Amino acid sequence: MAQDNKSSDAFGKTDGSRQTFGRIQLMKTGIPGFDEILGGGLPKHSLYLIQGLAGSGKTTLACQMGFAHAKDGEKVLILTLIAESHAKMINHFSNFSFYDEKLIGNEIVFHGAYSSLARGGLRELLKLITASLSEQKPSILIVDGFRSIRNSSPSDLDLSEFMHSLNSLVASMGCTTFLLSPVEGNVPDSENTLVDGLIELSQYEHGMRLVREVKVFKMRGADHLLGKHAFAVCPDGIVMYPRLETTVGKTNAPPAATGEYVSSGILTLDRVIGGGIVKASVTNLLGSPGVGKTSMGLHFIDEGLKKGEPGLIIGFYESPQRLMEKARRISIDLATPAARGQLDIMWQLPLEVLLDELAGRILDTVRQRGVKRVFLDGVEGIRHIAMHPERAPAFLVALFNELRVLDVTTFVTEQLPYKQSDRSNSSASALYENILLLEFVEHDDAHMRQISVMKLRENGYDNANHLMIISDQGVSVDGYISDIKKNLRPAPER
Amino acid sequence: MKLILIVDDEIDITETFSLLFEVHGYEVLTATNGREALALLQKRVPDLIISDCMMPVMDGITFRKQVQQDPVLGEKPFVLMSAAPDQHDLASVKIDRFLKKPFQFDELIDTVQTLLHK
Repeated sequence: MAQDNKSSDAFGKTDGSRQTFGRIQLMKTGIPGFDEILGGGLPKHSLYLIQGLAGSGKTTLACQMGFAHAKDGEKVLILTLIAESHAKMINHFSNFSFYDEKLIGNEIVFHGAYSSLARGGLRELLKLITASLSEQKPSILIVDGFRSIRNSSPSDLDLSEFMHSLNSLVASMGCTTFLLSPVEGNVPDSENTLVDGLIELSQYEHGMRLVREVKVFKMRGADHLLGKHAFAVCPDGIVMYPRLETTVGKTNAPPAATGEYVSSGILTLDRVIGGGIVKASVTNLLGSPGVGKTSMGLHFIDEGLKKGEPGLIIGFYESPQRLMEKARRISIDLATPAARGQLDIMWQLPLEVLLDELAGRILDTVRQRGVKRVFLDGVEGIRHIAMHPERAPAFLVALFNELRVLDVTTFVTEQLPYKQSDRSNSSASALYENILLLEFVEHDDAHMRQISVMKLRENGYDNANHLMIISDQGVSVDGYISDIKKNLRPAPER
Repeated sequence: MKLILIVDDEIDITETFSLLFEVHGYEVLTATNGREALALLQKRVPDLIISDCMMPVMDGITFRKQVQQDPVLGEKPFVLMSAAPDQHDLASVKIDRFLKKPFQFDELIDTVQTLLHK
């Protein structure tokens, strides 16, 4: 080794975890969501291994990046070892919207490389790659079927030398390079250790559902998001959804208490809770089925609309039409503001939808529409969608945090478990600033609705149980339940 | 065919440059330190020398000083490269071009072609 304390090799690479990515030029991938996962993009002129079993999407991922850059006039060279034929590969891409036939043979060039490997081993292959890079001067090189190299049975040392030389070669030629290999796992082979980045695409079955995930094992020179992130292969190609918990709250903390309050939309409730709800807070309406949680949420949204604040309703079980009808029955008009674009109603059946994709749609709508009030009707829907149920609490913490950062006041309904014994499982307290409990109580063989404040941040409030009434004029809060019981007032009809 | 001597202790660099220069029609000799390079120079006279600074056994500055003393070899174009130029007394030797690592091959081949056609 050299006498001096070298900081990098000839091409500016280090074998450690240098922290100089702020100076490194990053390449945009052109894959929605991928740059965010990578911490801004891929460090240029580096060597990457994209691995994943057959059908995982690695060729699509690499070629989608290639097409994105070729459209900007950059040269892309696709070298194939033992992989599908060039014609088949082109045929498969042609189904995606990113495909552009005009680029083939011009900006995107295909070369077969297997005969060099078969004829002269790694040395001959390296020569071919050197000659191809010198001739074509591509900014992106994709080597498909890289496993053929391991299958050609080189010694470990030969393979390490090849990887080392290839890494230096692509760096010296200014070519960002992707090796595609149909394997899984981060094993200590030279293919994994001598590349600058290791990206794995995986797919597995969850019940009858197929789940696709991407994981960045390592990425020298970038501050990537750790762990797994969901992705989908759709007609536009691959779309990645960074895991919400890893993306929010990194740079923006929720706003400090402003002392500003917003009305709940129910005047009589505002009196009970000390004037209103703290702005940019999250309120949980926890209650039995049919007790009036959704009606309260509709009042909250309606109040904002009357003040010119754009609103968003997210529901999982009631269609927009049913919700509008429900609102109409308590004298709330949702149809007009929805038609005017002041109100968005996002209805999502809690079936096969990706949690982070849903979060992206919610936050995009909030940002684009300048939404100030969100009503999430049925937080259980989020729990049903979550592929990994243990993830739901952290996901909700992240989502609510981001809404607070965006200065949005949120109401969330949550169904109270039927059994009293199950109620201790409620995760409400850690997620919400405010919790209002809505219950049916029996009195003289009749049911009355009762509302209680369980938690209210930054407010003085009346902690007695109050009567709640729903009429065609909407929801109102009346006197104390204890007084009613004393005075033997008849219980209102349910 | 012009002959280039590349001296660097990092094998991936000598390997890569060799392949690239060969593609561009040059013959290449490689050595991993100054002493090894001096031994090669006893047998063949290159048209141009490229040397790293930081190397074991004999560093690039010492190597250059030795080469300068030879009336024939001392006149051949000499390119020195280093990732940390401030650590070396570059002013103590005569060089035709200094390249700060990292650099890309385009810059190196331009330098070589310019020096060889002067």
